[in-house]
Amino acid sequence: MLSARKGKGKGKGKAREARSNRIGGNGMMYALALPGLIYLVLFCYLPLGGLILVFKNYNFVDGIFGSPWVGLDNFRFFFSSFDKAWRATQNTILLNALYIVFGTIVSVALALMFNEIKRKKFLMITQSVSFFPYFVSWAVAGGLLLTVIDFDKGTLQQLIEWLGLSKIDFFSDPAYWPVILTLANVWKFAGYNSIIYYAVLTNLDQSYYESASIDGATRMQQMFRISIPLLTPTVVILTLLAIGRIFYGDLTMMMGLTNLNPMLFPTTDIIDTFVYRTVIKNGEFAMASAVGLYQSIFGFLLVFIFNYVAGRFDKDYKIF
Amino acid sequence: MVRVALTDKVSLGFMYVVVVVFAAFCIYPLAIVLAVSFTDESTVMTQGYALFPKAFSLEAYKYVFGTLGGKVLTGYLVTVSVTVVGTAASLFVTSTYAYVTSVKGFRFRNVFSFLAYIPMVFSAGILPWYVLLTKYYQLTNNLPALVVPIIMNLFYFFLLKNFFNGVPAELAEAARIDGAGHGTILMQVYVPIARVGIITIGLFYALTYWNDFYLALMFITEQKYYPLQYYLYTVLSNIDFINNHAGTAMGNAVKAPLESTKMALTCITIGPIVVLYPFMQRFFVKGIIVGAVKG
Repeated sequence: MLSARKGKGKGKGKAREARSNRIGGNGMMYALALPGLIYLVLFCYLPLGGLILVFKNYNFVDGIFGSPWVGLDNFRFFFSSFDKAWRATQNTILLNALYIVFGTIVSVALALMFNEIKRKKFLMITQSVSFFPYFVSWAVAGGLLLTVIDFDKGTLQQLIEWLGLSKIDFFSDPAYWPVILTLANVWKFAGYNSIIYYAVLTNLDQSYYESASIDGATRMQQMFRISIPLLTPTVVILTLLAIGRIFYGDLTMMMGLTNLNPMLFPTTDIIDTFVYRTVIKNGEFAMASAVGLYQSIFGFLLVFIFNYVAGRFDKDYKIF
Repeated sequence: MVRVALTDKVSLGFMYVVVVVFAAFCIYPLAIVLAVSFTDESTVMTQGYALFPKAFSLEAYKYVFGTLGGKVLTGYLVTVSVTVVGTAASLFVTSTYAYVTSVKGFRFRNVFSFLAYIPMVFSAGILPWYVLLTKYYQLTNNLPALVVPIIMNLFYFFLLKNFFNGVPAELAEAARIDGAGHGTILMQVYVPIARVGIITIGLFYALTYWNDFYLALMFITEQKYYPLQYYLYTVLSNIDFINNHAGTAMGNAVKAPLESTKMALTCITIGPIVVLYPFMQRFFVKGIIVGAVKG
């Protein structure tokens, strides 16, 4: 824009005015950024200073800064029980990967279907209903899960019996749990997340669809050639954000659904439950923070790689 | 042409079926929660959760609205005010920051989004955060304590930034040539065009404030500041405590209905949202951008 003005050969005064406009504009930009920046500094970055805790033997009397330094001692417990720590890491990544893949597929599919449905009342009811599991706490969800898979009374067990098969004791066989947990996660969040994709779809320029249907494209073709490509940037960004947290698990979910049943640990013991059992219960906050740092650093590395890869496809896919 | 219409009809019919099936999976638990809240407590104990209870009872609701009535009302008041004020404040902070990070040509936009990204992955755990907020920011036993610590959700920020990225650059440019400042461009170009995005994250923020009991657990000890969710949580743990100690310290204290109360409380907290959501949905209107950038 500036060069265009210059190109037209306007006088010096005009150029100066343009420059001051630009600087004034940027000043306004900083003003607009200020509330967010203040929040980030006060509530995110200053607490991060507490990471020195990781290298200290924390006690309440001396506080975060006064407690004695212990070097890398706080990491020791995690890696001393290496097989369990490694198992927990693997479980966390595997489960999160399952949640990301299936959660994304289902919520995108739901959003696409909601987008095709033209009956307003039908849409209103089904969309509101699909939102409901989001509000059910994991503790209540655990009770609901029992009504389905409980060995004596579960609906699924009755169905299995009716089919003439033998009942399955889900609570003593870890092999089923990646599936159960993925289903539970998809059930709880797919409706909620589909709102995001649905919102993106409603925000699209509708003239794409108009010209496509004038050219004789079927609705399915419009879905695959217009809706899905235009949803892709959002899918990529949300996936990148999720990958950054792939080392973090949901403690309350595991407590609610599995009740931290040791029989199921081979597939359900995630980093967060492991840390909860071994250190948080004993008030060892410094050790918990140490593991948090481990989760952050590896998540961050992973995101850096994926962000780079995504940027290779399209610059707009990058999150920073 | 006929064949085209036919495949479209088949696929559309298929979609209706899938949506109905998914909705059924979501409404089943709602039905159970509702049914259990009306079930006699001893029946829940022996039968487990059931869609058609053998013994019907209003005990749980009597307990919540009769015994606890006034405090439930206070809880609603706190929650509603926190939700309204919090959502407005959050939208302001998030949309200004999202604007700054999505306007093309602003030098530091990537730096600012990177700054917002780091805390999504890195955290020093709960302890430093807690000490800082209570000791230095005085966020204890006041309403700001229920809003300020979560005033900007970084995930929602990225979501909104994504919507803002979709605003045609030509429009912002046109507004700037007409002499509009950044504040005006944000309010009169970005917000209206990304209206669906604003509505969506506004809804998500409202739900976050409505559902929150974590902040109350951390920062509130005086009952007059208890939000609904936290108050209900304390009620449940009290019932649990009384039931566990009944027969010992409490003598023949009457057992409160734990399971059905839990379900009744779930219904009471989500009720207003389930009723309000369809009204929100009116705002998801298609075709706002049509014709904005032509010629």
